[in-house]
Amino acid sequence: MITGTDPQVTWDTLNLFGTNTVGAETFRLYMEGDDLDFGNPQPVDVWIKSLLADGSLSRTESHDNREVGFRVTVVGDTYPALQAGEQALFAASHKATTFTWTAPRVDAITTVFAVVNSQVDRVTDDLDERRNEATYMVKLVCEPWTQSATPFSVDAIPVGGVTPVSDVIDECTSLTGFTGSHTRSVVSGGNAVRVTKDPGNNMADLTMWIQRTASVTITQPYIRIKADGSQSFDSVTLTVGSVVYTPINSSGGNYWFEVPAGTYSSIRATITYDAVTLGRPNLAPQYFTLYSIYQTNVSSFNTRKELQQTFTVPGQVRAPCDLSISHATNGLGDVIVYTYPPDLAVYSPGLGQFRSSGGTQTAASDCVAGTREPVQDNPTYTIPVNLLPMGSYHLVARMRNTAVGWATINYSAGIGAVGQVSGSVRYYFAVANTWYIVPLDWVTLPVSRQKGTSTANVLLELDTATTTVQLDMPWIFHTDGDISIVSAGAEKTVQILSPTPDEPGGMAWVGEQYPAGTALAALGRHLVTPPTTTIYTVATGTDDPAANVQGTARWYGRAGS
Amino acid sequence: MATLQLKVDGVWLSSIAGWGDLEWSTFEHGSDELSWAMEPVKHRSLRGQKRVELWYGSGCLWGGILNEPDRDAGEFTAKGLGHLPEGRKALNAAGNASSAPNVSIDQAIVRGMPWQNRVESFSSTSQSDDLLGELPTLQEVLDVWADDNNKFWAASPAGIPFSYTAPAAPSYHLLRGQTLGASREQYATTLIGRYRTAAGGYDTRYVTDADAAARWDSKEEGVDMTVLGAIPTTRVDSILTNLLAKGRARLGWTGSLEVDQGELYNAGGVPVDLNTLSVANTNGRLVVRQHNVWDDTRELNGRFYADIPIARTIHKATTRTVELEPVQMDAVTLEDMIASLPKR
Repeated sequence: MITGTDPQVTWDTLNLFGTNTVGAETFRLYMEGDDLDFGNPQPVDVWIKSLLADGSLSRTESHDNREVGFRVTVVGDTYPALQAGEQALFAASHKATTFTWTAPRVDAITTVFAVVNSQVDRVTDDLDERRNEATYMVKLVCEPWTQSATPFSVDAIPVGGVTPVSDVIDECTSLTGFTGSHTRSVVSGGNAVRVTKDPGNNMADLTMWIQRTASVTITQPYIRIKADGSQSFDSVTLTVGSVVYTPINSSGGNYWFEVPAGTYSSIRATITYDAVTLGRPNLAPQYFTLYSIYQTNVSSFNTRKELQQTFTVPGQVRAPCDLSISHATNGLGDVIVYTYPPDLAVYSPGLGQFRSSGGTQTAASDCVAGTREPVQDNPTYTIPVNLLPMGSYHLVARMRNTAVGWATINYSAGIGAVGQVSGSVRYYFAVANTWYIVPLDWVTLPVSRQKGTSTANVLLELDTATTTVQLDMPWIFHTDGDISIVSAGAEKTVQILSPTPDEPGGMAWVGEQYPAGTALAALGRHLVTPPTTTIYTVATGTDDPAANVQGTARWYGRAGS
Repeated sequence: MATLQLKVDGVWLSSIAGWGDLEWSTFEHGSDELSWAMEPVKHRSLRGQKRVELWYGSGCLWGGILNEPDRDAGEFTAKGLGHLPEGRKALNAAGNASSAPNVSIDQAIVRGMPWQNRVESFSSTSQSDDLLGELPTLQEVLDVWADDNNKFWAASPAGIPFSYTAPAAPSYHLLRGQTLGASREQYATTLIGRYRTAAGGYDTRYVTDADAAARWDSKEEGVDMTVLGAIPTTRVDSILTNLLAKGRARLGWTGSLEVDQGELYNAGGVPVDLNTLSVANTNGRLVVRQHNVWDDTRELNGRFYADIPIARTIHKATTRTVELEPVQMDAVTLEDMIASLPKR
């Protein structure tokens, strides 16, 4: 008998703790507690060779399936009912389905196990033949992580059609009105307020904050701060009034927060350095620097053809997700979708905002950057190193040639000046005056590793001898993120779906169809990683593309939501 | 990590069926070999000679053509574009044997070799004075041209032929001292080239690297240079000198390096993503500088590091390691031993 404190268990369509009716027969199933085993995800570990004199290092690459096992008793009032119960159990096995478990507690949250395969073994007991019941051992091979019962859906919708407005709240040029968690100072040069912690052992996570105490009236939808620190940090939070906000976007050391209109008495920016990142012991001083506070009506520095948003991901471990890029009325053109995990959140792939020099830029409404320029005039991009998580990046550029033919595109990069690494790629422009998304080369950035306190810049320059090649803008995509590139043309929706048992390779849709021919230039396996993941989208055909991310939160064992 | 995806005949493999167990390798001439496992499916794109591409996120890492698949076993292998000149003859437009690199490449493409059209000019001059009845393969013509000019030739993953040189500085650095033994197997201080004269006879010349001989004692090896018929003596000397410089005049190694993600750094100390490594690059051949070892093979300048030019990179998608085979590694398998035998 099911009561409020019994577990609620479902396998495929069967209620494993109650009455089931299949066809004309009714039988009861009872899952036994004795042999219940939820199993565990199986880690796939690799040993890392290191220069350690003693001890070894290992890293967990991924996890493999878990095995869930339990015993089920079928009770039927008649022989046909008993047979129907056995048949129903077998019908649920040997296929991909779900097993849901709600613990026998009033406050329990339903946990879903994704079953990959399963088998049912009968436990033979001669006395069962005289009784109304039979017992079976069920073994389920499940995906390693459990899931929440309800999926999540996050919408990244741009604020479109506005002239950008930025109103200064504080330029952080003096300490007046500022308090902090550690020793306060104004950075030499006078353009930022900083709190500094003296060197020492860092055995725990380190929280640092800077607060501006002064009455401020917020009328614009967003507050933007510019901040950085001595190490990389997961995120900045903003406490306005008594509410804590997490950024909806970050780029170039700037963070945007959506804060309701009103009058507030204080704004506090807080960061936390992870103890592992700091290192034990860490003999360098740690700091947090705040450069400016503005209120604005747009949430990024990107152009309107780009959309970037950092969103909160429920769950405990990384999960596959389905992405949908759309626009209500306009065709999307070529779509780039790039998702990246929280340890890369500080960077933004589009280099348009870092352009520091080059030739004459001509306004062009079909360009993502809003302008085009000749590649032969050496467009150069200056990127602060603390906005470039180290690693390998794929350099990609949108270019066109006013004549058909080959062009050799050269790139050069370095710290402070170009020339330290370089390469060249030959590309064939098959149709004149058509914009192509051209994959160039892999570059390891920053060219030279920098300490967290470095204020150096990476310079990246493009060049060609072919006078007819024009550039829209370049991107650098870190190889730890996932990227998909689809030509949607006049279609208004693009979907990138993650692998499922029915589609183990994932799937892409442009409108109602699979992308034909060469329309699908890259198909990524997109993952969302808690606590936050960033999505960056480009649609060459329209301003203000919207993005939606759907998935199901993944947990180690008990679902948390 | 960015996703590794395979494309066969322009179709993404993921849209046909689930696949896995990907392994691929690159070598001096570009893409080497690639293999994967897949449930046995019949699809019009899964036939021999179809173009195979390996994409890593938004860029192509490897290009080749599919070997006839063994569908029942579910195993698929592909041969890289860098191997195609082995099976093509070097002919001019009229169909006569040629030893001019530009024309030989262009005509092989016209006859169906799936490379892109040549952008770079290798050389329009014949590498041979008189072929004397030889019919060289395209590989042989390109090898002679490359050795003569102290360069290497390769095809990019997109199939674009290009040449490259040894880099001025090593591309990547390895801190861990995994010791490789030194080997004399392919070492030589004097290379004796047997070539053909314009009159049709055979003749011999030799070049010596005196520095190497002084350090590691002299050793002679023969080089068969008759594949292109009669070649001028200046070319013979140039090829022998460059072969010594490219690595014959130093000791080889007895094994390969297995490197984990996070162990290989660029010159600035940033770990490189191992999936992006390839031997042939427009900005220079892959050379790894191994620190903290006594370089037994280049003691000449008393360095505490060994610069190891890499002949092959072997990648497995399931682990994040790469196996780097040095140039002049001892042959280990029977296949390697046969490949290392002189051609005639």
